[in-house]
Amino acid sequence: MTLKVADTTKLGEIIEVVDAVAQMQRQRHERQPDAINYEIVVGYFRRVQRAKEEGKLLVSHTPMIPPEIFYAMDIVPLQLEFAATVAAQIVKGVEDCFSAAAAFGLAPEICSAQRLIAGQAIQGWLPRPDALVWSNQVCDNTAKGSNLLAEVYDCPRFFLDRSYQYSERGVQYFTQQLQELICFLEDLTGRKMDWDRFAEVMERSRRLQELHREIRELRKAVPSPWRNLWFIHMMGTEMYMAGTAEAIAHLEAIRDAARQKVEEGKGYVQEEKFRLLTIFVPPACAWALMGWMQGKHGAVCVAEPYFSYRDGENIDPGKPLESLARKSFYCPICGPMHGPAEEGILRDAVRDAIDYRAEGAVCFASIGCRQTDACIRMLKDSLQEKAGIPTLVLDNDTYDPTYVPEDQLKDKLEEFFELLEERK
Amino acid sequence: MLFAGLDMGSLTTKVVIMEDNEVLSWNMINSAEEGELRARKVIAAALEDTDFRLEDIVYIVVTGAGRKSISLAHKQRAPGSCFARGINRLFPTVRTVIDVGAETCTVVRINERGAADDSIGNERCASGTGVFLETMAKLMQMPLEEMARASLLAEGKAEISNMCTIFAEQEVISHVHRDPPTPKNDIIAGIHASMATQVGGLAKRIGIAGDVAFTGGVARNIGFARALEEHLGIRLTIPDEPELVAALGAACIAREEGVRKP
Amino acid sequence: MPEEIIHAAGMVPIRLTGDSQEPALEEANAYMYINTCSFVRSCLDLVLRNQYHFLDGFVSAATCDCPRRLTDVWKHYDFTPFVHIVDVPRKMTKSAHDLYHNEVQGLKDRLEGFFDVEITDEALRQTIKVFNRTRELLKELYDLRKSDCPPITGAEVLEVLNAGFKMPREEFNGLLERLVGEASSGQRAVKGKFRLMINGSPLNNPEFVKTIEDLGGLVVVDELCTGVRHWWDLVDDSPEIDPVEALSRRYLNNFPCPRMFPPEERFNRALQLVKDYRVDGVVSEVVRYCVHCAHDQPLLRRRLEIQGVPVLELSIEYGASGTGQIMTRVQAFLEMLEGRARR
Repeated sequence: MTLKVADTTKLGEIIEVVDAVAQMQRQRHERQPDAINYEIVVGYFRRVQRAKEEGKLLVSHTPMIPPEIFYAMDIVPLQLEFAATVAAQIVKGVEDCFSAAAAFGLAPEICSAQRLIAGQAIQGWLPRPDALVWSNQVCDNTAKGSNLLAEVYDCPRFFLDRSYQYSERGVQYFTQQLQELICFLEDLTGRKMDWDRFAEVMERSRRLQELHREIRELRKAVPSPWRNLWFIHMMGTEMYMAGTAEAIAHLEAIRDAARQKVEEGKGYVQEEKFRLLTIFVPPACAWALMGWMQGKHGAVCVAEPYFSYRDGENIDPGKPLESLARKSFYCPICGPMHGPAEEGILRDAVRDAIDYRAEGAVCFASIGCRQTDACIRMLKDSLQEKAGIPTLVLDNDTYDPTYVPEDQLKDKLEEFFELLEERK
Repeated sequence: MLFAGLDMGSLTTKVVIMEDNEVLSWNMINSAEEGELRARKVIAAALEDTDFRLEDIVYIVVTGAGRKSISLAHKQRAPGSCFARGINRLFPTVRTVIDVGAETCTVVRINERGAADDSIGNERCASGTGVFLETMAKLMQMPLEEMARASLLAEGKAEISNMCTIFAEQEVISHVHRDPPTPKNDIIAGIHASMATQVGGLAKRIGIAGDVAFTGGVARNIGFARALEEHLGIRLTIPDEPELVAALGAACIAREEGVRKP
Repeated sequence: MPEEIIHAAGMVPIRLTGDSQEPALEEANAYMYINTCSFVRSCLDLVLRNQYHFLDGFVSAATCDCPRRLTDVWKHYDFTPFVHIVDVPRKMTKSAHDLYHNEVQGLKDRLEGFFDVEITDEALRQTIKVFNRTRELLKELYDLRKSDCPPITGAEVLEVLNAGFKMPREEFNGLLERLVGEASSGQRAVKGKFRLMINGSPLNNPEFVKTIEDLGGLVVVDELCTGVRHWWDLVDDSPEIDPVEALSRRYLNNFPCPRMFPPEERFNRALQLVKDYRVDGVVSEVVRYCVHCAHDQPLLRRRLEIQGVPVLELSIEYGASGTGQIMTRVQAFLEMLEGRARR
């Protein structure tokens, strides 16, 4: 496999566009949380861009590798799925990435995120990392995707294995895995982990978790103080910035904005018509849908059971590794996705539907996401039986807008709103 | 006061006109013309033997795949709501509607109040719709009406395992050219059974509850209706004018909206 | 999933498989999704069609997304009174083994508690002997396939394996002994133009293999979870080792499934098989949405091609019998092998 020479102009393009968006948002008072979000993205990619010249280790990784470890070790992380998501929205030529992945032999049934990541690597869209870290914490695709990347990049690799069920043995095993990951990174940097610094990072991670829960409480208000797009932003921050001061600033801004609305007794939109539970994510190529739903139809996303911190557990900065291991079983995404449904996503969805007074659920069924899609019938039945709400299933592909065009998604949503209207 | 429900199907355009709460007249035309034109035509046809004109209709609700951009309508409604409303007027005990039209297949679950609770449609595929049967009729060189009855006379049932129209065609052809050829009636029974599996599968995805109605143009196809009953293991309620249910539902909604309007 | 635990409890382990045809799967589609692999949907379809009504319980392993979700569906809709899932790490390290050992012990405890039975070490040791005997016999059968003209076809071997998944093990061993005896007598010799290996996703339909063999490609070995990976390694039956420990070691360290890390372990074993069985070409059947296989396929393919072994990749649905397009592609592949042989 010959690799194209890294062409980081794409990265430059991303930075430029996101920076412009950030500046635009800065102009509008009510968009301060958004501005911070975009500034974080800009900063993130700038660090990636400069890692080499600053002599820092650049580690590419797949979702849900705890970024706290990288930040504690002064390593520059590059979350590949996030980079793919941003690139898919900004950079032209995503089709070339898909073609490159296909030419390498990746079947179309492999999720488009992994095909896009592979394609970006082959096409040299991103700088070549010094090491690769990946994990099975989300799904089989994330567990397998990086075998190919390791071959393409021909760099040191580490696979982080997490058990499926939450048990003390599972936590022990994962704690051990994290310890091995640190040893692996120590060998590469030639520096030992600074455990004091790690504890500081974990303290910030704990604070972030606290903010997540504070925000969740505020969102129970009727009308909702929430801007639909925020949950996607929050997910980003959680996934690639956990343990940093910027992440705390971002969530505090969201919290303040939401709290102000709640105190004023106002909703984010003037007329709140429908309260919706969001199951999984809208396609990356159609995030504007979230604003459209809210602005045009008064449809507010009140809770996202796949993307919420479950109650009960807290980070203990004194036990950083064990805390991170436990976090993987109750934190957004990998908690509900890589775990049994009955005591996981089904229970959470029903509970959220009731607690947040949802009137309907919108399920984004991405064709690449096998393990969330296989739950749809169970979710639908549970929500109907236990919370009395209907679920709309929107077939889509997270990264490929041609699979189901945005207009069709809008038509279906409008039909669903009609149905909700009739039920009132 | 007059109210109208328009159903802009992909092949046919249907209208039901109500005078207060009674059906005054209805009509259905087959036309490939532009939407607005078709809508005006079908309404004119429905009003032909009455003393009314288009201007007398106070409220029009439009539904169907072509419901967008019909400017003479006051409101658009999704087919799901209209099926629910229409069937509820005809058969109040029905809780599930299976509608198979020319290019669509929709299953709607209805609650006790007669409103749609859940609905599901065929996506990007014609295999469970009228088009599939028409393609097959052409292949069998038989008018559709004749094909509809033929499967009732079948003694056996040919195996047609592919759902995809293109592959199913190949299977049918191989039955025709088999030595000895599979009897025509048996092939048709196989075609109906295969499509029943497809339509039934969609219905099972939202769950079948209570009495089930079968509507849409394909509900006139007695052979297929029997195959669907056999597949689902239930009796289907079929209205006298199965194509008009959505238009009727739209008319009912038009009446409610029109009365509510100051 | 160590079947021995179930057997030692005095129960009959039945391996869940799907239908040997490409069914419409509309029963299963109502409960799972089109991107659930058709192997799992075919299994579910049979369950929903009441074809597994005789089961008292379901034990699955958390191997990949689709079986994991099948277990969720099984539990949610209450198909059998007993449902249990065994966690399986993807690594073979010491701590991975500790975790897995605990899981196997957990299965044993749960079976004992739920069905009110005792699984004694003695019973486990006895069971291990029976199951190891199956493995030895299958190894003998496979060894016979190394000869130029094996006494048995690939399709026949798959039928034998299928029978083993569904019948009492002692009975199966008896039949297998007879079969190996007859096959070793030298009275039957099957000829093929080329020696092929089949690998990829779960495969149970012998018709698929037969299609390939009818066209002249003799299947002499496989790299399948329904083939070599099922029987390859023996369980350590020495008296000094605890039987649960022995079982967990064997099942975790066995010929790896594509889900395991590092992938090279499996690649190397597959390459070794190619050598040992003098394979001319490999047919890879990847069931759509079998993500583990799909990810590693291009990597394995490159390794095989470097060794001079051509690969035919077939993207299929589980249960496919190998008609139509598959036949055409196999034919073309065999012609290509012929061309190479002439050169």
